[in-house]
Amino acid sequence: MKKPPARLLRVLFASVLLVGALAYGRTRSAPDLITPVEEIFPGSQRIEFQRGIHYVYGGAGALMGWAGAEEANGYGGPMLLVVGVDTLGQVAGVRVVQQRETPVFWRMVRAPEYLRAISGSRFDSIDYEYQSVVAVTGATISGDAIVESVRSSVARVAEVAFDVQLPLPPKPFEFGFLELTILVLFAVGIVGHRLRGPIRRRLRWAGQLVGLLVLGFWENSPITLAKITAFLTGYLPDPRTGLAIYLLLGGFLLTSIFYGRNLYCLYACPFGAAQRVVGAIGGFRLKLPPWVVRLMEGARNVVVFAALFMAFITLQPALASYEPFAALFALHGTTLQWFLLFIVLTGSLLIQTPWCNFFCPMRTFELVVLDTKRWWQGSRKGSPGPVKKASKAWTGARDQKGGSEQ
Amino acid sequence: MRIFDSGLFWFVEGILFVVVILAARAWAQDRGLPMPIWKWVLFLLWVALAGFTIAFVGTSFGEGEPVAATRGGLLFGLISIIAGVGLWRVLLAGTGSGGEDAVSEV
Amino acid sequence: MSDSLPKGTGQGSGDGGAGVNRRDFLKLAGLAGAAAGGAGLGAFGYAAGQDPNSYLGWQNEEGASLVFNKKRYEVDEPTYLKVGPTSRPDARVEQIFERRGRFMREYMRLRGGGGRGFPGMGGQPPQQGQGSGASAEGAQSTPSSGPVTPESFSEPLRSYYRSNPQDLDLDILNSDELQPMNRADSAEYGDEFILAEAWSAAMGAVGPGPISGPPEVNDFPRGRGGTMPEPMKLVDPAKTAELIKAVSLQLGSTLVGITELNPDWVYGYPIRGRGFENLEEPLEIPDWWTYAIVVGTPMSWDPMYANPNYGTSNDAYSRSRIIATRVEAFIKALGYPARTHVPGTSYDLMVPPISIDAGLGEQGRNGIMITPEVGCNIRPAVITTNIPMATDKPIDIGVDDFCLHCKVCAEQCPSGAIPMGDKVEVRGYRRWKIDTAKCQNFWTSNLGNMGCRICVSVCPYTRKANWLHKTAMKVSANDPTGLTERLLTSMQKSFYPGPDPQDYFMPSLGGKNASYREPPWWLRTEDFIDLD
Repeated sequence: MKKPPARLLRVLFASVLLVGALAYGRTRSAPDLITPVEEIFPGSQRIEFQRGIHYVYGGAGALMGWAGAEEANGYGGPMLLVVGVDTLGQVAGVRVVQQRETPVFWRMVRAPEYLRAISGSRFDSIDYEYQSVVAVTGATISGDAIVESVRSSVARVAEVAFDVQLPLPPKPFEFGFLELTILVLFAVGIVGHRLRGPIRRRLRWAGQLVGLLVLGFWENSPITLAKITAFLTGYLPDPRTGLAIYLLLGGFLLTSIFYGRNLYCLYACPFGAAQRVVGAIGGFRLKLPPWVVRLMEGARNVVVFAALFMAFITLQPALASYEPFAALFALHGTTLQWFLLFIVLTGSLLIQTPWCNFFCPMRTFELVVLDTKRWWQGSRKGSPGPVKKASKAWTGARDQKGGSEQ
Repeated sequence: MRIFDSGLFWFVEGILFVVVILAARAWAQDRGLPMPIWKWVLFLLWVALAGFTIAFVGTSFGEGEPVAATRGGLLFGLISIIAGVGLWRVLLAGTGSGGEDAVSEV
Repeated sequence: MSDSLPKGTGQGSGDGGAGVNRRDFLKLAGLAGAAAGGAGLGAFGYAAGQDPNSYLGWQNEEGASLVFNKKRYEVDEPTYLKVGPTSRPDARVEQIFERRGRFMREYMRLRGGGGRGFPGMGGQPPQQGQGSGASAEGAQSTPSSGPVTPESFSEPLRSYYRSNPQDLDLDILNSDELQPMNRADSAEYGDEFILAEAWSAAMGAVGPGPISGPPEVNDFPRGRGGTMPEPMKLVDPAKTAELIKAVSLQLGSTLVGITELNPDWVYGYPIRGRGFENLEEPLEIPDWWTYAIVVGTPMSWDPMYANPNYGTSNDAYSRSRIIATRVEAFIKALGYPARTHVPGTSYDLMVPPISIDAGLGEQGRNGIMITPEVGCNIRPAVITTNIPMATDKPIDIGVDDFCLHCKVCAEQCPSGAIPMGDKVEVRGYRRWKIDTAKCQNFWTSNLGNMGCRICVSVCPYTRKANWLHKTAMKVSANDPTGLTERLLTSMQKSFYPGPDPQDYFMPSLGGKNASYREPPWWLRTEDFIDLD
């Protein structure tokens, strides 16, 4: 068994590389605000950034207007629009500076129509009702982000240039069926974790099936590398509308740290459930030699690192997504992901949860968390139980059949 | 399509189908497998599923839609394989030759 | 084989003595099977004798395209809803072709241009830059180079543009920018569409001339010396309907339906080219426009899937025009008045809602009718008449629900003309409404054959009639839970992807002249014509 500190050092090294990639990605993607502002104010000669907004000056130094650009959280990443307001207080124009929505969603929201509709209004009497212009269902997050960005930008200009405080509407906190299910699943996991024997097995299965149906087929909301990458790049989705991912990631982290077992993987993850269902049908019985297992687990870690690296350099969380979850739960994916799904699920007939063991980034993250925890507790002598459980968790070759907690 | 329009093709397919059933029956008898009616029904349903998968892939290629052929083939093929394995275990259950072990060890 | 089984054993065979044992059961089953099989052969034989597909060269005429039994899906009310007081459309401004014709005539005078104009509509858009040459004959305003506003136009355009300023922008955009761009791009990139354009021109080479007289003149049959024959006494409206439908098929139509004409679908004002003298006088619906017969043909399938460039509308337009004219002649030969309303632009009424009333299909999100047989791949025409006929009922095959969630056409529409949102209320009816100005702006700008039709090509209902799609259609129509619809929609988007809609545009607008699918081999210009 390898010494944890060595593995942790590798993780540290990888993290340094990733932070570097992130920094590089950020510098590369700094948005260009000058060009859109010039488009909004044709004939502008000088643009100055003061007190959080842009002051736009025309010929002979005359003030033409102001431009505000505030970020909002879109579906695929931060969205930035710039709003120009002229000296009469009218919206001179709105431009989309940066958006990271998937192309299909972006087309659905028909941004140009909305932006044209609000141009010409006075800054304090803009009709923000998006739905009246381009009623869109299925891309509400993108549409809401456009409105939010415009609204915040206008509010900023209003405050600085006109000394007017525009009211921003309160956003309701959305807690629905999905969020409830997630909490229930973790609760079941905490209870089940304390039990033994057939009851635990039944609870596991019940949780798995609920997770498969709700988090999987109904909502298609498992944890994905793209969502984690979004977090790590500093793009935190609004918890009021996107509470589910906070619950899932929080549950994953907390249970790993305090129970030594990752209850997300064991009770909530729909794709793990899918593999186990197929495995129950197939009666997996293939035992891989330990060296194969170690090799493939190592390969998995490398792949996860590479995916994160790519996503950080380009600042496109979606690029990191190699998981085939959407292909199973929504018939949505690239042909490559379809093949991966096929291989993983047919493999599940013979091998226990091949994705979890050999492909899943969550397993890599779990290892990092548990490694860190063990090292932390090992350096405080005389620590109780959790250390033992943690060490059992990453015994190199896992039992392929029966008994071991996967 | 002319070949497939004429009844001859389906006539031959029908004969082949009967041959398959007879062979399956013989195989089951040789292994001493009891085959009640409901197991035959499951088997036929699976044959329909697998047959649909093959025909879907063929049709999609014929229509000039390779993406549909590939993805549909993967999707329905996956379902067919998993259902096939499941059917295999159901047919063999109770005979001790690979039915119940390794089930639901979660 | 069966000898190895001891008698009477095996599950469910009962004991060896009393009751039917397995062998006997098998023998009985065999006998019954032979009887059923034999009966089946007989039935097959009868059907083969009647098979429309054996009428070589006349398969369609004998009803080969009637592959869907609509009787089960008939309903009393169509799936669009009447929700308020209704009114007839003012075709002078709400019908896109008529409006743009009027726009062009006045706009040309404003800009001092002259000559061609909107494709197929006469008049040339002004050249780049401001023109102030000699005004056209009878011009009412002097050419100017100032900004064009709604006030620059006469009524009814003026009021319309005041309420719909976006349409004025779009009309001007098309004339000033899109048409010259299209000409330039066609010169540079248009070679690959030479064969497709030749085929389209050929399809449009034959057809009836335009209607030359108003209804009171044109609709009535005239015998020798201009006398009007007596309408023949007919036995029974139901039989007449059967007759008209069978004859419509024999005259070449793919689908046919009959309905009473809802006056709300008739234009409030007539448009150019229909024989009306005064276009500013409201259209009074003649009392012999009692019924509407709907006929129609689909576009050729493989070119249609290669929209927007390789496909055309001419293949279906010309055939539907000819068939409608034949049906009109047949009805007149029976002594009754009849008038055709045919594509591309020769209408006194709106054809899609009439087709829906006639039970041919339902309205889809892309604004047109979706049929169970051919999806939206149908270009219908209408014949108005008063020959007494029984009418068809509208149908509900689940299109309304399907379109609610599918939205493939809206996602693929290059111009964004198809709504992503809900139905809206238009003149008292709740229905989907597309933006015809944006739509036409795209389909007059793309290279290759005139028109777009992408929404037709990508629609999940527009599939060839093989076993796979016919089965999917039937399952979807009969599934009350809507699960099939969701599954089929996901499969459509995953298995039948299209290019990025931006790619459909011409290069000057940032596109790649993409088509939804590759053209059939016989339209690949480069294989047959030396392009160097």
